[in-house]
Amino acid sequence: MAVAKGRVLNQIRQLRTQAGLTQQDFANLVGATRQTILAIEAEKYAPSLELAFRMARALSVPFETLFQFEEEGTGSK
Amino acid sequence: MTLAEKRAGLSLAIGICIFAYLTANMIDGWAIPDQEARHIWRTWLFVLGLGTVGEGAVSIWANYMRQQGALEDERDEQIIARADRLGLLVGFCAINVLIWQILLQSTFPTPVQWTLNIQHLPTLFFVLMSVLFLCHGVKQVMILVLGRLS
Repeated sequence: MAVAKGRVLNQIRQLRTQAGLTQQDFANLVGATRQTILAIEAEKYAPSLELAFRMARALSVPFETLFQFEEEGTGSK
Repeated sequence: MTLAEKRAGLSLAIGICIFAYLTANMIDGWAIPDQEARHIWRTWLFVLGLGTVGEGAVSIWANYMRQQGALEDERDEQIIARADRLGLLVGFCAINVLIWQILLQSTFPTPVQWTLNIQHLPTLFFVLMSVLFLCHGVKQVMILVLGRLS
């Protein structure tokens, strides 16, 4: 059975700015480079599960609030 | 710029310098003249030595930068792995072009103008060394490009 392609969306930019953190501050908190945060926010790069959990923990939000999965074609999250 | 990108840039610059030394030692105009085995051995050892010292210095510098707080994270590792694969692919293609040249020369024993004269040892040495530098260069360039694009 063919599995529909999808993409990972995230709310990092909004939640990070709400928390008053710069990209560099946030990168230092989660142990990544500023370029990686930039790429994740631009949805060019999907982080590993470990980094994704670190991000959710750093912003004190549930994982599902930070990341959503959208299947192509259906628009369902 | 991430540490991985800076490291790739430095490594590329060192590679270009060493390749320039190799070219200056092997090429006369656009041709590769006959050379003594001793000269080829000396060139190879010197290139190897320069490469080892250069890459060693870059590694020491990168370790120092890590101690100062610079990071190489999972995205950098992914970019380096993709660049490695591309470098390998280019090397694979280049070696196959060489094999194609050998096959051509075994079919047509008199070297045609547009083929490399593989039977000429200095040419073979220079071409093989160039393939190594090409793989290295492609890898470093891809780290720089993917670091900007992905």
